[in-house]
Amino acid sequence: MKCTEVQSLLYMDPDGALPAAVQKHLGRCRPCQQVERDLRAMKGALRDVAPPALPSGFELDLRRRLAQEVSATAAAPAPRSRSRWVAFAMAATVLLVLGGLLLWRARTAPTPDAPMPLPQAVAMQTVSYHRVSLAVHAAQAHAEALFDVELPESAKLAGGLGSELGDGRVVRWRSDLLPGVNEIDLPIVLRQETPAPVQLQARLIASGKVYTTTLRLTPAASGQREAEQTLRLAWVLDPNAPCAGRVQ
Amino acid sequence: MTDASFETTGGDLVARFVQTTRPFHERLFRIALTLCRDRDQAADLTQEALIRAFRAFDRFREGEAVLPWLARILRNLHLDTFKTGRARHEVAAHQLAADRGDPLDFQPSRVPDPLAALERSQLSTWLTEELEALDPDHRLVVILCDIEEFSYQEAADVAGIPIGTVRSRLSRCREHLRQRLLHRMEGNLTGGKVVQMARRKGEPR
Repeated sequence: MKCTEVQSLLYMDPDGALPAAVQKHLGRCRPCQQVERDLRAMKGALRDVAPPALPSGFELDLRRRLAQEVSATAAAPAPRSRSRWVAFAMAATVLLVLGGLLLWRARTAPTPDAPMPLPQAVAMQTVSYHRVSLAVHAAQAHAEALFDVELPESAKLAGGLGSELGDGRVVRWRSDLLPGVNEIDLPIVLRQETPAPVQLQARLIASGKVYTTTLRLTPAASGQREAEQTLRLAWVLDPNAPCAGRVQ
Repeated sequence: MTDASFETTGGDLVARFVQTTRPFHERLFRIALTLCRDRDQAADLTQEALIRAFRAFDRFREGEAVLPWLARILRNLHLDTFKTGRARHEVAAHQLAADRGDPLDFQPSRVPDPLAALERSQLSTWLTEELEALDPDHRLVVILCDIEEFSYQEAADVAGIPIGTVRSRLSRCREHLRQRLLHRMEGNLTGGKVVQMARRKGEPR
């Protein structure tokens, strides 16, 4: 075999199984041995070539967008066209059956003049859904800041949760903070059924300092069956400020 | 204790997705940079690809290779979004083709196993620079096959070229890179004369 043929095979597939003729050639040809060793050294060094760093804020933006994806999925209504028709067909069937029964009963009842029982009025229950967004104004970057949201007894989670859960009724979320305003939408939706306002406690731990804040969950106005609102938790982090939060 | 009534689906999914894909974000970004060359555009493409991957995460099979899966999504997204703006660096490709088989280009070294004798970190630094000088289409196959260790078929899927083209491009790139490294090695030994000569010839730095 010629050197050009052997080297062509080596360049094509340096890790491949070499035919006996190539191995025989390699055994006695120093330039081809050198190519083989160079390729091996090069391949090892190529694996060490580090990828470029991501732009600053990339991971934070990604987490924010993933959270939005989850919130959107949690809040998305069921597909309408099909379910509407199914509901319409079911209602029509129920009406037909009821109508038939009433007709049959009217014809067969021994006392046709007896009054029909009226349906009882159903009390309208109001349900409020609260999305939770955080706005943190940070004077400097904070790695892995922790957010704790303590849920009131009457509120339940309707959507997904954060990356990890604390004990009891505390939802915990971890995120890096960049200098400036950090807007974070938590992928959770709180479901509130009580008619009275309740308090929601939130805590932010950033670079060893603890910031707390309290927010009021206001139920939907009476007469509304469902309502949706966004709770905005805001902090201003200042390295010189005392360990206390400020609600904006 | 965790409240059993909590619906954990959404948050768990985000956590699982991030845990699965986080080690590959920079590496996906490197592929994106090769596809669209502009840093901001590459970051947008990477992020959009990760969002698409998240939407399809329920179809991701456990044990499947993560980066080839992400890279396929990235590639499809790039085709959808940027295909009209695709510019080819034909001049650089011609330069690469001209390197092939030119006997004057390669001078046997005086040092046995010259590349093996170099510090691996030095070799990696030079390779990083030489990869930047390659035209993007060729750089992509080297990144996919020799750095990320994709199979030829996976690389062909991501690069959108036949598997034979992957093999031939790789072969030319390996030969070109080796010769460039030997030039650099010679330049190091002789005070940079060979590298300076290469610059005068207009080779990419």
